[in-house]
Amino acid sequence: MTDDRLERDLRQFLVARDPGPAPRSVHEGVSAVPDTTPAGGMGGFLRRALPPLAAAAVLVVLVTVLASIRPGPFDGAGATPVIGPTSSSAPSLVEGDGVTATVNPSLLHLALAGTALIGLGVVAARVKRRVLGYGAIAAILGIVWIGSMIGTSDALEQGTGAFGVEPFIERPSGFETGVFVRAEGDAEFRILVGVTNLSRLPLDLVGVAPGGYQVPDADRLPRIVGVGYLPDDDCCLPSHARAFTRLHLDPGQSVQLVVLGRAGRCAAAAVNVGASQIDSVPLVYEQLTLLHTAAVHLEEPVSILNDGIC
Amino acid sequence: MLGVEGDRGTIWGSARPAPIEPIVMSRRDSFAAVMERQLDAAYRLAAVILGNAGEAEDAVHDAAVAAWRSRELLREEARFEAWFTRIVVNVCRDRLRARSRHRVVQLPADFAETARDHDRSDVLASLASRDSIGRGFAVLEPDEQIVLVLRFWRDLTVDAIAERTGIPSGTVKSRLNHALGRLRTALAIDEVTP
Repeated sequence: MTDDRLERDLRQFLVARDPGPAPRSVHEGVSAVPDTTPAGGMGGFLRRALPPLAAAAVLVVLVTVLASIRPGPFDGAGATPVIGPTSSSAPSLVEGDGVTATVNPSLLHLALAGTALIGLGVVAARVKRRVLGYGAIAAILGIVWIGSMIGTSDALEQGTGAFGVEPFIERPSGFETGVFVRAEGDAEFRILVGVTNLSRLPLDLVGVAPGGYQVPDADRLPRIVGVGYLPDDDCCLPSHARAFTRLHLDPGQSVQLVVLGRAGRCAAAAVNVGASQIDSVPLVYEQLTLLHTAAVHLEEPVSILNDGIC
Repeated sequence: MLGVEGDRGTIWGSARPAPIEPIVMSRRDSFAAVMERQLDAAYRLAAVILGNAGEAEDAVHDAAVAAWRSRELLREEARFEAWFTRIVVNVCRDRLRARSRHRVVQLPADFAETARDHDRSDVLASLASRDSIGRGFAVLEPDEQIVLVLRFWRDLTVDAIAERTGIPSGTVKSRLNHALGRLRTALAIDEVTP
């Protein structure tokens, strides 16, 4: 078939499909559209505004993810300080090191994620080009996937590594579990605990949230007052702990932390009247620019005997 | 012809849509007036793309609703024809994609009249040729069908098609070329198939 013949047949075929002017019903139906169709109003404004907002939010999320998943100087074993000294030359751990405020989910981040999800939903539902629709759906799934991995309190757990307290005493009779601190009065003690990043994204350890009881005269009771870490080449002696610095943990990576505590004025190693226990350490970490607090449960509670009358 | 930039062919002949005067589209009466002037052209375009007059009525109504809802996006009211055509094309594309395998094919409106005026053999030959083109046309992708309609029924230039479909001119050219190639292949297969 020649090109001319093909074009002629095609034109005739298309002409045969032309029904002529629109019937009256079409005119009537369309003329009623302004009366029967709600005006754009705020809904229309949102429909127009959400896609660009969603695109901006997705861009922020992507930049954040790419910035967070930077290749750290991973040596296969312990965590790597993000900044500061990496060896035993670092300053020793003292009270107040690594103490940071407890954090709550950021409203800004929640708003950003919500805007991104809603805007992408609008895009996915309304966009004409399939590839954009698929892209929007993929972005939604990506945000949900990332969101499912962060903001949970189980990103950090006590993992491999040494666990114990210093100074310690043998477990007194009458107690079935726990490691016991030998302390008289508000003495300092240290908890050696290995912490592992169990999430699928890297994170930075930021510090420890202030521990203890939120009651008046709280220094009567045990409390956490600092945190440090043990360099890889200096294992297992809490007294060798270094001042805390921000620590980068890749997925599956561990770090040996040393938590500094005060036993409280009522601590009495020689008196078996009762005991206060610390069963978790509230660590603050940052993941994809979001700060979270994870309560790392200790395999055995750290117990401090008291005299019961303080 | 129907809002065309070229003057090829006058087989179907119709009035060119009246030029759009600068009016305030957000007002109900103004919108209705502008829409009324484009309605016949839009309906015929939808019918040719969809191959079904009944479905074209629904498509035009859907397009009118979409146009009313997004009328504030039209910055230059003189471009209403191109803008509304694009909406119609998008609605038709969605309908083509959503179609099920089983479709209703209407006989051409001039069938009975043609049959009276010609020998039966001529009519059958004409219909056979048209059927052959129709079968080939039906296997094309919706986007390919649309560019063929805009080019060979509405006689638009490549740039005008690009404006009304929202794709680059180069893509329009390649899509036209590809569509004609596929149509030719389909016809060749049709000829050798008993």
